[in-house]
Amino acid sequence: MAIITVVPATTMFALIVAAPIVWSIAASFHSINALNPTWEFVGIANYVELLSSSQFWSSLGNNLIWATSTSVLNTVLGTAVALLLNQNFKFKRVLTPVMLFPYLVPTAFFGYIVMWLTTQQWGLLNQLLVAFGIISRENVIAFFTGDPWTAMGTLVAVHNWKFSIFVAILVYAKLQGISDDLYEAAIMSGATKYQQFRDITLPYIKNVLFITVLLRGLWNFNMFDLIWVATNANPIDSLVTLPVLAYKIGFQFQRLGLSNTIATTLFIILSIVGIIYFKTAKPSQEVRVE
Amino acid sequence: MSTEDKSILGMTEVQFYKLKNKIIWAGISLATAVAVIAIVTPPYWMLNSSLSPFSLLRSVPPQWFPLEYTFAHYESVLFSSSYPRFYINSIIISIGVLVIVTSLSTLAGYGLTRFDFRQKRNFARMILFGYMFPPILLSIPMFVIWKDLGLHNTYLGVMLAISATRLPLCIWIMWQFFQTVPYSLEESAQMSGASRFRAFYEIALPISKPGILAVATLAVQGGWNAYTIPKIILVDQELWPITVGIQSFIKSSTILWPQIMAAVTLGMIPVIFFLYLLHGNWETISV
Repeated sequence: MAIITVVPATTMFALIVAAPIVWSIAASFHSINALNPTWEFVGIANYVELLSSSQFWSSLGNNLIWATSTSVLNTVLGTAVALLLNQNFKFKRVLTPVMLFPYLVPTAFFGYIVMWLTTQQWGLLNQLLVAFGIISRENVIAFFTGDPWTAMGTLVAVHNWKFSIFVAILVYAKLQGISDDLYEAAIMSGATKYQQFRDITLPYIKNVLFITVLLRGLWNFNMFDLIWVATNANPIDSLVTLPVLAYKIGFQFQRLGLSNTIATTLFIILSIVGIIYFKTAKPSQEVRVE
Repeated sequence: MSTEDKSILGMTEVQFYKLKNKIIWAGISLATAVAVIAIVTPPYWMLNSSLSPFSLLRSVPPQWFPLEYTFAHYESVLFSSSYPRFYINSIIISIGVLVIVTSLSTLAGYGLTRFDFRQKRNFARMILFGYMFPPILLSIPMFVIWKDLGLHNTYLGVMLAISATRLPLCIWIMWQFFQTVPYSLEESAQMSGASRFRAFYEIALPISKPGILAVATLAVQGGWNAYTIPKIILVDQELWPITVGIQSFIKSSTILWPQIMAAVTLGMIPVIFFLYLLHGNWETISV
């Protein structure tokens, strides 16, 4: 019985997660055409080509800007939303599900909504900017096709609609675990709101924030769907991150070998972050493993 | 010292603190209002765009509360496009993922709690490491492997691939959950002659229903949300789920915005249902 319970999941996990990684590493040393999959061994030529191409380095740079800015904003805004939800206000029972709803919306759906909100002629964002007199009707902004920095900034900003809620959900769950006694004691001894936050709230949520930032950073780094859908499958250069580059090279230029070279590079980055994660956050201690 | 001596900005101390509390309260209310508006606007605009006649979509300034509604876009999405086909595909894929993930993770969670294994700690680490994997990293090599195995254009291939991305987390949840289920109950059942499997099936399984429900919700959500994996693995348009299928409303010459928004709104129905299911149990999806 012991074997029967664990083997199916383990086998599947090994076949579906481990095999593709091994395969990907192997494929990264070959030249493979997506339409005619015969493997031709090319040694480290793919890596040489990748590392010497300027596109790789600029994509990596975009990736770092994208991952850092989204993760920082996600954390700040998400914590703010969680703190708001933790207050006692009217209609709380109605507003809580509304405020946590975005995380359930599929990213692809959100991508289509973003694409619609940012269209140049009738997009709501431009309409609002005109209505508030920030820009004139003649100079409506082409969010994802014009200036590279506008494109990056816009996508980073809208990314928070869904993903800062992820942080909010985790932090909110943790905040509810803080006993009211602590705050009462603090108020009795004359602590200000800021002191209460610094000395009670922050130490309590520090760990969960740390894990969230790490996971969010990782997932934002590897994000493909939002970038691809929101930009209508044609991201401007500043939004071509490594996952997007891997997809383009593999499926638009049919070079699966080189595409797997990027996947392997991503895997190496992921492993390094993973090791840091396990060394510092020690998530496996949460389960008794004796 | 009387209170008047401690006046701040020309007010007594009591007045000052009352004012200060009012300002804090106003600030919190304002922040909440801003957050709610920011969160509600995109879905509202989506709904609004899907219901407005096409001519009104282009009105300047934007029509917040259109006086005219039309269901024409829904009609065209439902009756003269492949959208129903995509919807059925999404349902099939979600059910497949639900069955695979729920059954395997319940079994594995039970086994990991009740039986002794060497290397349990490393196993736990490996599971969590798998959880961190992004779909893009798996699906590119998967495309190559699945193609060799003949799975790359099938429901089964997509179900297995999506399940693999959800499985680690779900095993983890069931593992944690079974630790809260006392073993003594099963032992006493075994004492009275039940087989080990029967004890699991008739005692441990019913108790762990909340855990299984959480895992099931995560599995369905994973199936419904999947974009990257089906996009890469499914070549055939007939098999696309809605997340990928919506792109068929983007023609080379024109983008059918109201139809896209109608399609997204229809796709949101199960999401609203999850919202109802999860009400009050948010931690379960956050992990």
